[in-house]
Amino acid sequence: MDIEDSPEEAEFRARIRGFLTENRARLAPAGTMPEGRVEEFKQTQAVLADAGLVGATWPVEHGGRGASAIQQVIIDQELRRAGVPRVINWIGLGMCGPAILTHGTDAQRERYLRPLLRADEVWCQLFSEPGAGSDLAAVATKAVRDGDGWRVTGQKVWTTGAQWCDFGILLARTDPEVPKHRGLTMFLVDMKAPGVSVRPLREMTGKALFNEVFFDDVWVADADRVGDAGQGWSVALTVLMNERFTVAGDGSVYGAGPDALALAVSRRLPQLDDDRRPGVLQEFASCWVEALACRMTGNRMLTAIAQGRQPGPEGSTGKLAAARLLARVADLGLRMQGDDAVFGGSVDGDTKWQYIAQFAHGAALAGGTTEIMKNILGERVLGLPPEPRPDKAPATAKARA
Amino acid sequence: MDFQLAAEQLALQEMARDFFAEHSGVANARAVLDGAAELLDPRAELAELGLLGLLGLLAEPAGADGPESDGGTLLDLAVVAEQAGRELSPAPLLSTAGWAVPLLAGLPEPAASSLLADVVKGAAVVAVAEPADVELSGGGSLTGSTRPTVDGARARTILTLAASPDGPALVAAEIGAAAEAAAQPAFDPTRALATITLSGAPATVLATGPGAMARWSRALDVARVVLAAEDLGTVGEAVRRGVEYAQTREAFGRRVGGFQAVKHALVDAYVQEEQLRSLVWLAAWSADAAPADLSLYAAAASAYAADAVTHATDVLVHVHGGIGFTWEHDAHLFWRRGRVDRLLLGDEHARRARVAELALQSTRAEGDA
Repeated sequence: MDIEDSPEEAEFRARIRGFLTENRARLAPAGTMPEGRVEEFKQTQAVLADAGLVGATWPVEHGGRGASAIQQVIIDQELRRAGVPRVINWIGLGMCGPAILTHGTDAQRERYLRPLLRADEVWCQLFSEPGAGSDLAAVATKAVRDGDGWRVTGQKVWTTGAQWCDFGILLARTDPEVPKHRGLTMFLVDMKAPGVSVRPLREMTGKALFNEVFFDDVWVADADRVGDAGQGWSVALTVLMNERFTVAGDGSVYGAGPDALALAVSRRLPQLDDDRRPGVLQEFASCWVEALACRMTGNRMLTAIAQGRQPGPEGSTGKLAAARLLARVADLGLRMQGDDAVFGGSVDGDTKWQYIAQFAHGAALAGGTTEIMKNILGERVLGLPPEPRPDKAPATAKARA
Repeated sequence: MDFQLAAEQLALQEMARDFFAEHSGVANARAVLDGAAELLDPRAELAELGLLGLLGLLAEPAGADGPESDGGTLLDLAVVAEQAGRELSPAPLLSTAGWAVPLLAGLPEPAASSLLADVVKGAAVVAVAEPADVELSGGGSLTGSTRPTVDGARARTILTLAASPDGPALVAAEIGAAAEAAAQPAFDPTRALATITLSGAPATVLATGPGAMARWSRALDVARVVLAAEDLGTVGEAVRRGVEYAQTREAFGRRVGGFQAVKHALVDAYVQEEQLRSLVWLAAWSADAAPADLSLYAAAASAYAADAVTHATDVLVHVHGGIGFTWEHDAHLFWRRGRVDRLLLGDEHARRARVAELALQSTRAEGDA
């Protein structure tokens, strides 16, 4: 057992750190988000991609470096250390790209993956609908065969970043006559195609990262179908698995990791009223320990991946534990502000913890709610009996009833 | 990065699983509570198990674990302790293999090395007592009392830290008329807990000064990890038994594990088990590989263990419904272990306070660097 870098890993880390030090000025500033800075964020990702720092684990023929999962983790740690914001195409990298790599055709991989890596083309995930959230397989957006393509009509929702995206990965119903999981097909759609319209949705954070996306008789070539017709659910599971991996972690990706927390506590504690300190310290310790556990459980998963093994069941705990941790850390961040916590920000304009506290509710929903994750763990890992499923009948049969 | 057990540790795990299945503490715990049996003490068998004997895994002095050393690591001991915790074993892993042994290992005092040799063979029955107010007189006798001491009720020799005019002293005393274990009813019978009252007991001084203090602190950190490792096993077994019952018991025409209220409670305990496993491994690994971090990581594992073992054993009783509330069912034996373990070596609040202090210290240290 060893949790430290091996000599090769240490050398790799030093190389990455050197590159980031030299090129920091070419990358988006710390604490910024893509809103209003789309070009700058695309440029940032292009610089990182050209240096092999995004999608490093992807095959060389598709623009990756064939790097190990641990090398990508080292890169991500160094990016965070340098204060580089999360890349604009994180959904493309984390979810759409892996789906194309796993289930796509050679032509799709050739056409889409390199521009995705450089953020020349930015991607979104078109899964949830007003009537299909946790029950994702209930999607009603229709794709109907039309010559050498398909006609898509319907509505998607909670589509992060759709307003600046070029392409999306779309889950649509192609056969309403079979049980719902079997009537789905996955497509790659051009977000600039005629009939696609995007309407931003403002979240409880006050920001508008989410969108509604409407499809009105949008034509999609059959060549942009991913996997066979009717196999959409298994492609979706690949995407969701990758999404959960992307969302898990110790909160560092949101600036709410154990180090940031310890720093905030050591700065703020002396200013807190005496009667608030013991409670804050207890909660700090509890969050700090949970964050350490999240990181170390992640290390167990990485070790398995690095050795070419399937991660054990502990891998599924990551998203669940990370979402709960983020909510607690964010709330502690608020409490540490003392009397400022009743305001939308501190006197010096710091709104970070208010934002994270609001955002944490989204993290507990995105990519599988806390309850859905517990069902998955309970059934697939602990082997407990499944939820009763009166909806296994075909979508049309249900509609007629 | 290589965060997993090595092949030798997996073999050790299997050996320990078989050993503690054979020497299970579960039925014995009930018999002891009923006054129908003595507490099991398989220390002689443990001393003969494996190449080194499992009591003496840490008998090499700290830092001596080079490639030539034939000593074991704390991670090895943690792997064994987890299996002991699954079976509520009263084997003296916490009091002895994980506490008295690292306290004595490498002490130059002949009395210490001969005691260590007997302990490792399973011939001496010792306990380490946290002092409440133990004092060592100039004449070499001990007065005062200890905190509740694991294996205090069966120890023949206790080791403790006494205040003396020359500073703290690590001392040994024989149980007898001037060093008595108070008899109190057991809440969890498997820990042989007792408070020791000292009234002029002759002391054998094993170490003094700052060295004694540092040795005491490190042994306490090691013991925290071993306790957390035993609790990891108890949590894992609570989850396993809870899941097993929820898969068979039916209500409203369904197996109860299919109801989210039951399923999610078990999942919460399972997530705690996996998180605790990661923390126990980290803390145990650091003892040998990153000793400067042992205190912080041991505190982290022990803080998490207190909550996990309390919660998981609560869930175990609750998912069993009425049957879990009966004396005949084993669930309460696990619950007793949880309710007591969370208070040993500092309760959950003290453990978290320690994490906060050490984590903030290391943040400040990094800030200065």
